[in-house]
This record gives sequence, structure tokens and C-alpha cells, in this order.
Amino acid sequence: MAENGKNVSPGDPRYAEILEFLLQEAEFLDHGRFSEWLEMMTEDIHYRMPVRVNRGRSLKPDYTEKTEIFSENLASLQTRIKRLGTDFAWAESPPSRTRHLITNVRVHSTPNPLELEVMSYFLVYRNRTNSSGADILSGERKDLMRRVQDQWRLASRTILLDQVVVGSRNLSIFF
Amino acid sequence: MKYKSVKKVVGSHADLFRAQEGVVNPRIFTDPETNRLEMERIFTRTWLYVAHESEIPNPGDFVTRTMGDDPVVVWRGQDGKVRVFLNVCRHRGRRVCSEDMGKAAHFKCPYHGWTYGNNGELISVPFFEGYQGQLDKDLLGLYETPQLEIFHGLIFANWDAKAESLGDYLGEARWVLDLLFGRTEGMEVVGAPMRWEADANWKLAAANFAGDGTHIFTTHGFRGALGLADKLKGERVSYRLTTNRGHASALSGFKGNYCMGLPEDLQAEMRSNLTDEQCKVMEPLLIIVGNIFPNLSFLSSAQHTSEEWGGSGSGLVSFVTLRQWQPKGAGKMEVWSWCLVDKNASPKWKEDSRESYLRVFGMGGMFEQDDMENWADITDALQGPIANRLWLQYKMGLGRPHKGRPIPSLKDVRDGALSEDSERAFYSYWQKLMTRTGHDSNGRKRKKR
Repeated sequence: MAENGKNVSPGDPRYAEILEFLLQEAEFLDHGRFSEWLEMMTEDIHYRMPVRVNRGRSLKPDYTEKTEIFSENLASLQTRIKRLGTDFAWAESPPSRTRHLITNVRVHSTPNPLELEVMSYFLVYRNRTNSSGADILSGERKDLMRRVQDQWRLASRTILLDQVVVGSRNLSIFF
Repeated sequence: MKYKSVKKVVGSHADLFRAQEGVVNPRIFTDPETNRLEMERIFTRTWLYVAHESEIPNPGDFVTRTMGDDPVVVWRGQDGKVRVFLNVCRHRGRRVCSEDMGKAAHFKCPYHGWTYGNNGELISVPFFEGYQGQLDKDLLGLYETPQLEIFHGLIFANWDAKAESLGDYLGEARWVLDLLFGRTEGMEVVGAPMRWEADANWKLAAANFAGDGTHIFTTHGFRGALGLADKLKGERVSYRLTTNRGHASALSGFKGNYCMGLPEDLQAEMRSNLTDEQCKVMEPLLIIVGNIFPNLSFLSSAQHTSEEWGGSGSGLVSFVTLRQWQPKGAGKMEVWSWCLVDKNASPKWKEDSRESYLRVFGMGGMFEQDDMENWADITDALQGPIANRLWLQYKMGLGRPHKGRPIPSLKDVRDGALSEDSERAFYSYWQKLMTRTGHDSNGRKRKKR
């Protein structure tokens, strides 16, 4: 996907806008401001996380489109977030402490001037309760950003974790 | 790994579950020695699920799995036959296959190049002349499970050559598995398994799926809190199966014709595959859940459809998941979760079904997230010596007499009144295997206690 478009360099004002968007998202996610995070999505958001597989070096891709840990639309994301507000979201009660470290941001143009393709790397640190240990989840995200009423919105996100066997008892957090 | 004090350890396992009292000692969830003994006495002697046939449809197709602590490859030979081999080179022990899935005519060990065909035969040994006739290739094929049986596409293997047949082992659980895996021409696995590691003892998950129907209202209470529960109402219908091999299942629904939300075309197929009795039982059902001892759980649920769940909002849809709780020591397990769909279902039904599965189950599922939290927390909280003095309670329904046969052809099914008999069935067979006298899988004769 991203390879086809023209590179939007860090000097381009749009790059700065996208970077600001990604950092704002990380702040919302790490401070439990999930409703505000949701407002950054388009109505037709598709938020997905395919699972990785170990295959031969020549066999691509090394993930499967069919099996996904998340395949969410706006309604299901809203339910997940509303759920966190009930007294029964045990996996997040008490909540995880997370840090979304977002780096290696690459932005590419698309044939549609109102859309940009964005790739970023993440390192998510997650700590809960009294454990001194942590889940450390790294990976990449391939996003489609759309300009809606003069603001960037997330229209689709594909998250690839770097683990086949994911080192976390559950994914009750977002990426 | 040696079991120096097998006799002593086995003896002590006789008092970790008290069937008459319905109590379980916390040690079974935390003790490393218990875990090592489970590997030897349960996971080398029972029928273990390894794969679904649809994952390896063609000659040469393989998937790599584990049976207890042992890595295996499930491989369809050129002759079309499915075999299960220890994924270990007979020369020096390296895995011969490091991929999760694929297709291969042979595996060549990356260490010294010993090469095996997909019937397991050792076909080539580099520098063979150097052995000067000391090496018998015919005896050094990949180490194959002596028993393998396939039921409705579910491939089970057993390291114990003397074990009873899969049919005898499953007993009446076959009747329940028919409702999910034998109702249509066949099921197929969607994509690859979801895999993750949880810091929990595997038995907590297996016994929960065996039939813990009461945790739903607390653990998964968010449904009620968000108004997502009880959209369907009516007179409750439920059944509970427990077998003397530790398998258990719970079937439930409301009077009416829900039939697990299956669309009419699949229901028609179902009527030609299942018995009249099975079809009649299916009518009110919305949930089928259970566990095949030791660690294969299954779940089908037809309750997750409305717009709030992100579904299409029209009509019922159900999903089918198989999940395996692979022990990784006493305090850890690797969860494998598969989604399956009826082969002949419409593309839309398949997609709706897959989505309804991942919204609620799998590692991001809105139900399963909180299940993991329970099992991991229990595993951690029971580490201490004082906690280990307690007995955990599984008494519900203890001593309640069976009344009649709600499903006439099944002796192991009773009505679904509140009970923890499913968990008791699980731990009873667990204890039987952990303390059984006779032969170890390695052939050592054990003395009677």
C-alpha cells in the first residue's frame, strides 16, 4: 500500500499534522480518555489486528487476514469502551498503566488528496496491579487517515503485533 | 525429567480432590511437581486433540502443535493419510519443522540433514557410509503416535498404544460433538489459531468450560449492565452431560425454535445429518459449551447479534470455537483458539459468525478478557502456604439424584439445574489418572500402592 504513494516528508505541514494526531491518540489511550479517542475515528472506521504466523521466508504475508484479534467498526468499539465504564470490566479494574511509544512515522500520499497512508511503529508497555513485570508489545500500524471537515480522522487501522504467541493474558487495551 | 518419588507423589495426589465432599485442594493449581506428573500421567495417556482436518486438506499439508510438553507435527502423507509425529529429529533432537503450517514432501533437519518423507520414513542420512551398517534407517523414522483417530474432522492422537478407542473414550460426548461438528457436511477452520500466553493453570480454564454456568452473571455481568443480555426470554431449557472420562457439556436455551441461530439452509442440512432426537434437542438451544478431557474446550453461542456488538442487527448468528489450554508449567498456559464455520454456509453467515466470535472470544474478546483475569488471579493468589490449607468449593448439586433421562438415548445427561457436577467429573477423572496404578507410558511397571 504505502509503497505506491508519494512520500510526504517530515518538512511537509501534513506530516506535522499526522504526527500530532498520533501523539494525541497515544495521550488519550494512556490516560483513559477513550471517548475522546473514539472521536478521532471516521464513521466507517475499520480497526483490525490480524494474527501473525510462522511461515517459510519466501511465503508472504506472515500474518493471516482471516484470523483477527480485533475486527471492529464504530459500534463495536463504542461497546468495548462503554464496557470499560461498567462495574464488570474486570480485566481493566484496576486499569492497566500503559505507555504507547509511537515512532518511525512514515506518511504517503494516495490518489485521493483527502487521504494519507501512515505507517508507524509502536512499543506498548503495559503494567497492572502489583506486578513489577510488564507486557511489552511491539509492532506496526498501517493507517488510512482522512480529512473530514478540516480535521484528520482515522479511517482504517491494521495492527501487526510482533508475536505469534502474544505475551499478554488478554488484550483489554487498544493500539 | 525424572520422577524419583513417583510413588510418594502419586499417593499424595489421592487427597487433592475429595469427590464426596466436592472440594479441591489449591495445590493442584500451583505445584510444579503436580504439573510434571500431569505431563506424564495425563498427557501421554489420553486422547489429545491436535488439529482439524480442514487445516491440512491436501497431501503434504502440515501444522505443528504440541501434545503436553512435546512438540508434534500433524502431517498428511502423499497417500492422503494423516499422521502425527514427534517434531524431533531422531539423530540429535532438533525440531525438523519450525513453521506453524505449510506443505512439504519432506522435512530436512537443519542440523545434519537427516531427511524424512511425509509418511515419517527416514529417507536420507548424509555420510550414511560412515555408519558402516551400524544405523538402521527403518527403525529411525519420525516417532509416530501409535494411535490416531478422526471424529467429524477432529484429529485426536494418543501416545498410549493400549488406550481405549477414541469412541469409547468420548462416550456420550460424541452425541454433543455431533451437534456442532457433525450437523452439516463438515466444519472448516477459519484462518489460523489465535495464540497467547496466560499466567494461569490450564485446569481452571478446562473446568470452567466443562460447565461453569454461574460465573457468567458476575464475570460477564457487563452484558446486563449495558442492556445487552436477556434480549431473548422464555421458559429455560437446559441439559448437562458428565461422563466418567471427565468430559462435560452444558446445553441451554429457551423454548422456541432457535436452533443455535442456524439459517434455514443449514437447518435443512442438519435435519439430514442428525437424528430426530438430536434435532429436537437443538430446537431451543442457544448455547453449547463443554470440555473434552483433558484440555480441549468447545463453545457455540447464539447471543451476540445486535448492533451494539457491531453485528448486522438482523436475526441470530452463532459461532463455533475450539480452544485448547496447553500447560506450560503449573502457573502458565498457552491458549489456542480456533473459529470454525459450517463449510456449506453462505459467505455472509461465515463472516457474521467469525465476527461475532472475535467480539466476545479470543484474546480481545469481551467475555474472554475477564475469564483470563479470573484464572490468572487465582493461580497467583493461591501460591502461599496459608491459601494451600484451604479447600476450594465445588459442592453445588452434590448428591442430587438423577431423575429420569431428559434425553432418552443418553444415560449421562440430566436436566440442567444448577450444579457443579461438571467440574467434579473433570477432577474425578483427573485424580483417577494421577493415581492410577499400572504401566507408565514409558513401560515401567508401577507397584500397587
